[in-house]
Amino acid sequence: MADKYSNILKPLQEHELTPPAGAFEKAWENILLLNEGRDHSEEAPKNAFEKLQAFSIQAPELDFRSLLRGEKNSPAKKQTIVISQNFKRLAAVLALAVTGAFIYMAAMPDDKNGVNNEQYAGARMNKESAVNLMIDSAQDTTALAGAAAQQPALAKAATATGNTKNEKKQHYSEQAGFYNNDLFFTLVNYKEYGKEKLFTKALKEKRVTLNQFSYVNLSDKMVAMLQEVYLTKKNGNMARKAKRAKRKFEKWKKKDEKYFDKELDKNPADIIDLSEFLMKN
Amino acid sequence: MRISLLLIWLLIAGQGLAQQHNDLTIVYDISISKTKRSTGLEETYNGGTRTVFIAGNKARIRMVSLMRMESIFFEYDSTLKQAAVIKESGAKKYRFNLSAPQWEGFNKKYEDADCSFENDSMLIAGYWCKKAVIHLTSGDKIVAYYTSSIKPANGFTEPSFTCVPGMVLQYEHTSRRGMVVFKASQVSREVIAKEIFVIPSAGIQLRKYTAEDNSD
Repeated sequence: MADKYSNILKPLQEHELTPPAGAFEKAWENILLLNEGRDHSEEAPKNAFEKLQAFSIQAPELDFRSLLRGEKNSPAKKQTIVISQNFKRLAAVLALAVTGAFIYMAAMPDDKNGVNNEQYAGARMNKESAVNLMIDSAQDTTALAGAAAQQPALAKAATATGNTKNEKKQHYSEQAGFYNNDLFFTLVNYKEYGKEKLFTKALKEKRVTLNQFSYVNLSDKMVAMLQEVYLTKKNGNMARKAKRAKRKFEKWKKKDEKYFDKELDKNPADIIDLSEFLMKN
Repeated sequence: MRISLLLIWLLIAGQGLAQQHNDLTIVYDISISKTKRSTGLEETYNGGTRTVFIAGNKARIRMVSLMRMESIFFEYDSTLKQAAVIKESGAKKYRFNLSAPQWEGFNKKYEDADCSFENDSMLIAGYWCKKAVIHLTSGDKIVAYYTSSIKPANGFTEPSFTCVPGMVLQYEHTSRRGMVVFKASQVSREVIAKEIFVIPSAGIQLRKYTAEDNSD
């Protein structure tokens, strides 16, 4: 529509016609005669212009009011309505698209490739078991590399976890390193299992970190006890104090297993059961 | 006007759906103090963590300490379908399953527990918490600090807190010989990975829970 008018107006703007000879003079004479009451003097054009300068026309009030009221039939209002309706339609389309995207994101399964795909079922199972067996570590890179080499599924799981599409998901990957997931046993026997780095790091930081939500803060007492285990005589053999500490640790382990693992009626995550056990021993 | 209202409704509904996960992770730091001077077994649990993961109809409690790692997995709809206890550490890892009545029996000590409320309050992990005292029928007491800003975990996951009207962020048990405190250090609303709720099976021996259930 707009193109149609612009096509007409442009040539019209450039269009011109030459009036017939004497037409301007004749027209001017008629104007003067009409407006100036037949003034034939030489001053007639000047007088006409002066009067024209002083001439004023009161603007019709109705037009302003109608504009202010925004009458339905006014062309300006019609144009506004058209623009407004177009804007609403556009906004509605955008809102539906945004809402659709929200719903899609909320409803979409997290693992699109894994679900109902037997080809990856095994890999998925490995990943799950790797994550859930929680072969934890204190970020000992040597241990991690070794464990990953032994368990390709674990390495794969670590990659899969790192590449997860939903980056908002909690970071829960754990690294291998502790023998049988047993933090205490590994720290007490780190030399036998080649976990020097892990031991040094744990004692230096006074903390064993498995992931963002699982860690153990080592008390000064515990750090001192762990160091005690590795006291040696001058000849390099275990010091008596170290032997005693190791025996004590083994005794604690047995007590713990007897209390929580024998009858299965006690829960270490329960404050009453834990308190009862620890205060008695 | 109608179109505007419809759009607003659609946007709210859309955002609501997008944020409907309600996942919750709370990490409790464990601290243990004993009246006796010498270092004892309590140091192997001192400094550990108890993490509660809740997402949809699943929950998991994981305890990590020097001495042991253990998890309890829950699956429920309107009632508890099953609880599975897994010992994740040590040479003999095992699992045993508990039906809803067995789980009740497992937590029998919390049956008929009463709460009394006090005016004390404490700021824990960024939440203002009120004090409640849970009185057990055995005579034991658990002092809990809870926030009303977080919907409490259901009674299956935390049977000790059924009478507390909010999420407990700190709780402690004191006896003649010492004190055990579980205090929240992190409260996370991030989406929890599905893998967290997958019960491990490889290398884990299945044991049978033989204790009497609480169904009768």
